[in-house]
Amino acid sequence: MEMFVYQVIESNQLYLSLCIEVDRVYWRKRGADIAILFSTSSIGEAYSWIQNRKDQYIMNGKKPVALSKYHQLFLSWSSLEQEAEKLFNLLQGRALLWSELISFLHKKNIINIKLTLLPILQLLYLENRMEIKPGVTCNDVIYRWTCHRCMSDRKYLRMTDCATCGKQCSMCEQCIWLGRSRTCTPFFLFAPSSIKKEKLISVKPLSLTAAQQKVCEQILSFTQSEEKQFLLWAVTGAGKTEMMVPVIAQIRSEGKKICWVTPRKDVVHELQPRIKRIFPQERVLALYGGSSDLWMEGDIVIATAHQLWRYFQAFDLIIVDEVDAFPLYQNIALEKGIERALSTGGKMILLTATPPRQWLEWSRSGKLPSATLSARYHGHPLPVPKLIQERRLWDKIENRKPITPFNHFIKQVITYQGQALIFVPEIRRVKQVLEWIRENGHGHLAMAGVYSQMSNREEVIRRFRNVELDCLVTTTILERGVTVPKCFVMVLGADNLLFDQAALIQMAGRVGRSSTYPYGEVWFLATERTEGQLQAKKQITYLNRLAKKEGFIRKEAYYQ
Amino acid sequence: MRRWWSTLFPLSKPCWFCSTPIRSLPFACIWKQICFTCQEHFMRINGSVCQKCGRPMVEEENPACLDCSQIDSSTFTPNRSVVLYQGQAKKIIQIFKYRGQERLAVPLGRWMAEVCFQYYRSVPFSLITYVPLHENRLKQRGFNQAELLAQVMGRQLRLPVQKLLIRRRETSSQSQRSRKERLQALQHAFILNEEFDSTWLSRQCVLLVDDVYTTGSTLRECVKPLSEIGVKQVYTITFAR
Repeated sequence: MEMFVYQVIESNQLYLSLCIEVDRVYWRKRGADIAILFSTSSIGEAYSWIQNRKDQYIMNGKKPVALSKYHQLFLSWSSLEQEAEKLFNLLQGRALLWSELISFLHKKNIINIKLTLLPILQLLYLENRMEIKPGVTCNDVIYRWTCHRCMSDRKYLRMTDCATCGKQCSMCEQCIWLGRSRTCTPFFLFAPSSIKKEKLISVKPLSLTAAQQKVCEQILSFTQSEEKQFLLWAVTGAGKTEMMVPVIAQIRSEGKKICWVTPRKDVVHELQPRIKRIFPQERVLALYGGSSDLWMEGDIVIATAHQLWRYFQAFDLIIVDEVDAFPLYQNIALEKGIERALSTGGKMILLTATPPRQWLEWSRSGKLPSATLSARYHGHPLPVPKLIQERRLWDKIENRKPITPFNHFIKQVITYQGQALIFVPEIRRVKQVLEWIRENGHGHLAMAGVYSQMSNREEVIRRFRNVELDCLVTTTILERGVTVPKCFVMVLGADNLLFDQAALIQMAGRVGRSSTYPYGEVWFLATERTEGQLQAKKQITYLNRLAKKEGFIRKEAYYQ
Repeated sequence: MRRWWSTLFPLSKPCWFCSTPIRSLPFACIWKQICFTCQEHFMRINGSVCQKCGRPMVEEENPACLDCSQIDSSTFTPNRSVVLYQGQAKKIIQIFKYRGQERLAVPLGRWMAEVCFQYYRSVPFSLITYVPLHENRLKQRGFNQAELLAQVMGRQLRLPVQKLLIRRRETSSQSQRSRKERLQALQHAFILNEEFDSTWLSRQCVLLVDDVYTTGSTLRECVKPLSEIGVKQVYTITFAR
């Protein structure tokens, strides 16, 4: 793609151009003429040329690049303006790479635009309705290299020879799953729409508990305030989705757009139909890698965090679910992506069951407005984990020797007709544990293992949800977002470094989510006691005490 | 605390293909630097193979497999591959080639170099070349996957990498064709790069690199212009087949 840098004569402003003919006509209409200063095959070079410009280079004495011929525009000016308007309406609030833009147009069945696409984009750029940036800038010193698409730093950037522009280009490895961002690929940021239509929203009526009601009111008053972020610390199974309904309804009635970000695809799958049921008339999108809703228009978008790199100031409310989870927590690129997708003056609600210590400090000191919900929606307390030590745990599992507590646990699951969810720290343990169970007299149980790289992972999880499986051995992928009513949880090797306090609390939170089945238990089986296990237990008991003090707990005799 | 701890005692290098942390030595072979699950999903070609195309064989009586015995033995070029083009290998090749994860050239190339050393130990190679892409395709993709592999192999085997061939015709993607079409489509698609002196070239022992071997027609077509000027020894290696 040929790029130009030009200057409008008698002004100091430099412009980029994808299609120089449009610029010529545009400025001639305004009574100005242009002088082309620079032409290149890579937008990165053109962009850095403008950034590093020295005033003496401009016009004074420097001969402009002579262009041998101008092409004719394929369209008349008025029809170009119309086409631009049409395309802009589709693309408002998006941030797309060239390749994404092409597949977007393909999906929308706009194929005949190929010849006129560059003039249209150029016109949008001149009218300030779109920004053009290179995918990656790498002209400066190395610590200033960035990928404009995902805003990651040099850690993920890689310099390679590029055959497309014939130069050395930098490519970004962090966002490669959404299409390759590189120095010679243009990246377009389309301005968000400014028109917001107020409308009536029909919501399926919900019954909220007193505790939930209280938090909802806090959130609604937050949306009227000046603050930008709000932290909601709600225990696992507190009914976070339901609590968000009033605020979603209010923001939607103002005609604004909402995004619900979760770190995992599985949660998107689970959430989308639920939201759709509550808001039957709204367009609810589910976006994740390989989703069929890609490039569609939606009012309520439920997306994995990575998808937000494709939006530019599009949402007025972003609800970030499980903020403390991988990959969101401490990932600056994703955080910046969410920030970019938020409109100016937009609000952000952070949901978590396990806030990091730093955030709790901020909320105590008033830096971060927050609310705490310590009771579950059904009023039962959280199940407190039992910490059990077993010597040489993994040796015993590998050699299939009996482990009394584990055996006892499985027997208990069978007596109460529950389902066992067994967490292990490593993928290779999944098979070993399955074999252990089989060899130790429980071969009749329907069992399966699941881990991230399994191809039929969704199928296995579905079977577990439908109570076709009695026992599921899993790595941490099921630590969040899975709700099975009759669940028992066993964490094998809870002393592994991978299982910190937050992970353990989340895993314990899978149990007792249904009000009708009060038998579920959580066991942590480990060789040693670790800080994580003790802290997890401590926090769970603290939350139960808090709930009791506030009077939200109904029944006490729920667990031992 | 974790921060300085991990600076002082960094984690060992993760698996080359997923980011699972594993225990491995820096100079171990690639197979040992891959995590357990990835190992399971790669079908390595081990044991007896067809002496011509490198296909894994059950019986050891025939030196060549059924496909190879149909082909005229005058165009015989030995080929070896690392893994079968199934499961994980397919996925990895797709990420490498179509997603453009160029970093993957390093493990793949090194792995191929290891296999090359295993099978072609006695061959005195003097240079490495690769299957070229057409100019337009190269511009579109931004890189030539076979070239990247060849460069990594060259570094590993200490051999020069040269562009001996040029693709003359733009052919549509091989992967979307049937076997018969593939065999015909590529006729005379490659010519020799004129920068090289043909008498010099005829004395070389060449290793030809590609990413995937399906029917072998691409490689055979590449060998043709080389054997026309009298290059006696051409061996080929691909990552998957």
